[in-house]
Amino acid sequence: MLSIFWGVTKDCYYYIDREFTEELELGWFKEPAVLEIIRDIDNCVFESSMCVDCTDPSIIFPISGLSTGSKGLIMLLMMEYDSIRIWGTAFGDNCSKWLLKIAEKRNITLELEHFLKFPPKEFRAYSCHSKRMFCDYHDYKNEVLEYGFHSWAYEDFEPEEV
Amino acid sequence: MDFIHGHMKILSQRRYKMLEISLENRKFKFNLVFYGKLNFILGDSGGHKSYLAEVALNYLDGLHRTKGVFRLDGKVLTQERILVFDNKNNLDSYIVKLQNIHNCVVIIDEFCKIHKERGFGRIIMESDNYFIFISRKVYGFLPVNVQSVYNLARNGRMITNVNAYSKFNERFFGDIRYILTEDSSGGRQFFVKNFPDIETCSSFVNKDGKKHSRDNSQLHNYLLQDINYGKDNILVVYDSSAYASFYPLLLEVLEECQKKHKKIKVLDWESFEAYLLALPVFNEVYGADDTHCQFNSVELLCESRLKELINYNKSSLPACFNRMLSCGSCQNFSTCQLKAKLDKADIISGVLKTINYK
Repeated sequence: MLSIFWGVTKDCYYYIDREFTEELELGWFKEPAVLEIIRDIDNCVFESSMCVDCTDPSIIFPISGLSTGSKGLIMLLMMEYDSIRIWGTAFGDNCSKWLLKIAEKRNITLELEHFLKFPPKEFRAYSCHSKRMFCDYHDYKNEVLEYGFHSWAYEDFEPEEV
Repeated sequence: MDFIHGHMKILSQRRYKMLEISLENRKFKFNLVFYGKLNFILGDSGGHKSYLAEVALNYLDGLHRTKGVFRLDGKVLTQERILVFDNKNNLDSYIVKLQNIHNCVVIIDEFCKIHKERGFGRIIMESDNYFIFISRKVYGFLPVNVQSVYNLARNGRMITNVNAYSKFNERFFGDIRYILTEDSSGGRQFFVKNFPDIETCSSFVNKDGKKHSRDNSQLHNYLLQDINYGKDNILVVYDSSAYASFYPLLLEVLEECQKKHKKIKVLDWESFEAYLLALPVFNEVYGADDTHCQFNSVELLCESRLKELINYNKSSLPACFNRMLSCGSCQNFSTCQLKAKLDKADIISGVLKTINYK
């Protein structure tokens, strides 16, 4: 299940690039879903241990050059955990459909400090602020407008108790 | 700072008042242009935002395949005046650096620890340097211009920055029945005094049994409440020079207004003070590129300029700009160029003339 929490706590996976480097296993890049993620988000394919840009195949880069969003998604997909808290503001809007998909089978709490947009029809998530499931995507947007934006608007914002 | 008088002079000088960044390696070429002190690069994952910081660092470290040029006001910047704050150095070293540099360009990666520093906003506001934040959010406690938020766009190997948000730039307002301003200060009073036949929002809002002054962070919620209370034909007014953080929220509410068939117009001037300075009596036009790194926003620049000219105070509207009052008997200033030159009819200028008023 996907949960939305406003603000950042000490427990969350925040430095995603560095966490990814620590967790990475090369076998991850044999998984079709991982290859699909990097194709979608970073517009690249994985060949001979390098990432190759789809638009210009002469552009190659190591796994470390993948975007933070891709790395975060791969970690959420491939790591073993009962539940995980991760800095949601590392993800762009193009990652949100993947977050919903991965969260169908994993317990993920996104600690958000920005207005992350989701595909409305697929959106299903739990509100840690309201302590209930969001009725629909409109319900989530209302929470962003009324409360969520405090997490990036006000310097003295304190996250709620977990 | 020397203030520029006259519209034409400002335009000719504007050509050089910008920050230009050109960085190139084997893979990509970044050609970026920024105006003003506070700039944000947002966007989807995989958009090469963090890679920009990496390439800039490579340039500073003298990697052979990386070439670059940074220009400020048309002059090439030496490398000592370019800094990249990533997530590798400790926090203290960043804060010490910021306190000791001036008129430099600082690129701050989204994972830099300085974001978590208490008083981060004050550090940035007090710093006289140019900032490019690589981020997913625009901080509400920094006065960021709507036009200073960018996405990176890729065309082959070329990457440029494009405006993420656009100004409404409406040209016609027509029949307005309610004016909603972002705050309770002189800007609101301007509409109260000069459009007395149109209802203007109250100067305060009631929340939790207490009176609160209005502020721009809640403008989207004020609009939502007003349309739920049945208001229509609304003119929403905000200073685009400091509204970037809340702009996406207002867009969501405007979408709701459209679904409810509400007529909403938007006046997104740079700031009320910028409007006053652009009036024929002053004829001074300022944009983000005029702020350099000395003013955090166009609003603050214009406020400072008006203080020089007419001892302006943001909290109250000078009688000068109430078209219902004559300045003839005003004793506020021993000498006042404004009194000699001001035509009260000119107070309503530009697109405000398209409001139907008596």
